[in-house]
Amino acid sequence: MTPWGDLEDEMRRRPLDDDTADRLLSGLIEPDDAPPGYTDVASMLRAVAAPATSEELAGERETVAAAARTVRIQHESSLAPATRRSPVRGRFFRAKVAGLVVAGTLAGTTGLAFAGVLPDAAQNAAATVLSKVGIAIPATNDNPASTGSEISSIATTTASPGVAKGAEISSTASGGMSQAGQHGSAGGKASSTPVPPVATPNPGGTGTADTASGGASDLGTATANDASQGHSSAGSANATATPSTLPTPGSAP
Amino acid sequence: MNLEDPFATTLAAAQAGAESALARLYRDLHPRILRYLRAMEPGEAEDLASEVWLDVAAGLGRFEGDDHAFRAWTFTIARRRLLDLRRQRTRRATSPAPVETLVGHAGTGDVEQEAMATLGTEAALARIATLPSGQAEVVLLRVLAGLGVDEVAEIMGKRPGTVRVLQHRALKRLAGEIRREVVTG
Repeated sequence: MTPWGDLEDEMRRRPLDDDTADRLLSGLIEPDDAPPGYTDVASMLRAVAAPATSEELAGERETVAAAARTVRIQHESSLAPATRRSPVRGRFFRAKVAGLVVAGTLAGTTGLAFAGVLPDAAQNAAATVLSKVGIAIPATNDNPASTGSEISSIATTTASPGVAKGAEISSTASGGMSQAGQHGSAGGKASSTPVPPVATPNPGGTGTADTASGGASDLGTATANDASQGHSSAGSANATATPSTLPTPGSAP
Repeated sequence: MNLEDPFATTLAAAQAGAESALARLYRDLHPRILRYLRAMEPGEAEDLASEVWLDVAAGLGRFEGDDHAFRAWTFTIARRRLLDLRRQRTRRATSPAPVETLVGHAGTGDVEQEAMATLGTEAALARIATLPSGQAEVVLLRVLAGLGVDEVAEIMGKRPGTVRVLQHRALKRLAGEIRREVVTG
């Protein structure tokens, strides 16, 4: 039996366990302390991890310089966005601008709504929205500028009798809120008792309705006038020019 | 950052681009990386090692950890570079010549002592390079990077049990080859 044969027998009797393998690979076992048959392996592993040679470090200057340049470029590029504008800061700025625009729009719209100068649809929408938060603003102008010409048309073209025409005019002028003529009995009086001439030229619907109803339409007339905010006078004045059973201003004394 | 930790101090300076700090890291790790690559891919080791350092430099600012983690990270990059190269070409790494040189020097006098004396670093790497690739890589990562079984398993994408089997087979095979060469030398 050769010494190598003895070694192989020994290696078979004492196989390499995990712990010994770990310690060998970690350089924790001196070659002389290595298990039978692993002395050379321990030496070889130590040689693998031997100190660096000058040949291995020959490229140090170039490699380190190139690495330093790369590190500095990376370092600067990682800092640059933060000095210009960080993404978080940019998002915050945009949110602030958007908030200011919304707030300004709301304030402006509310102001215009209070002034009552918004278009009808916008004015009504603003009134609805603001009323929900307890702010009262006027809704759409109920007496559009076209009312005067409309009333003029009624007064000049309708063949209604005096009381009916006055009521129609009053109602149109007041946006339907006037009850002028509806409480009176001008027609009845007209048929049974001659109505005295109107003492003064009718300044508006009030006079007409009053006269037509023999004073019974005071309440309605006043309501019409109030509700129409004076607009009813135009129609009433026009009414004097229409053929009617009522005396015309020209017939007044 | 712990300023009393030499590695932490060096790392912080290197992350700011200080060449002296980068040189300290280089001197400590470059020979190990170069040896790993020489054993795994002899003809490309120098170029690969340079690329590894550029990759390390590019990612250095984001690195956090101690010297052990730094070694693991650096060897992960080296292995990735190696695999990239191998993907780019299909040929298998050739065995370097020093294996024959080792055998030629190992047969006179007290054969065991002579073999040990002539086992220089290059010869040892050449010997390891003759192992199956997985076994060679486990031995190199454990010895050169100083990593444990779990860390090597993570880098190689294998289970720790598999790494243990590979390292056990590698050591046994190395012992058997050396013994046969001495006997036949």
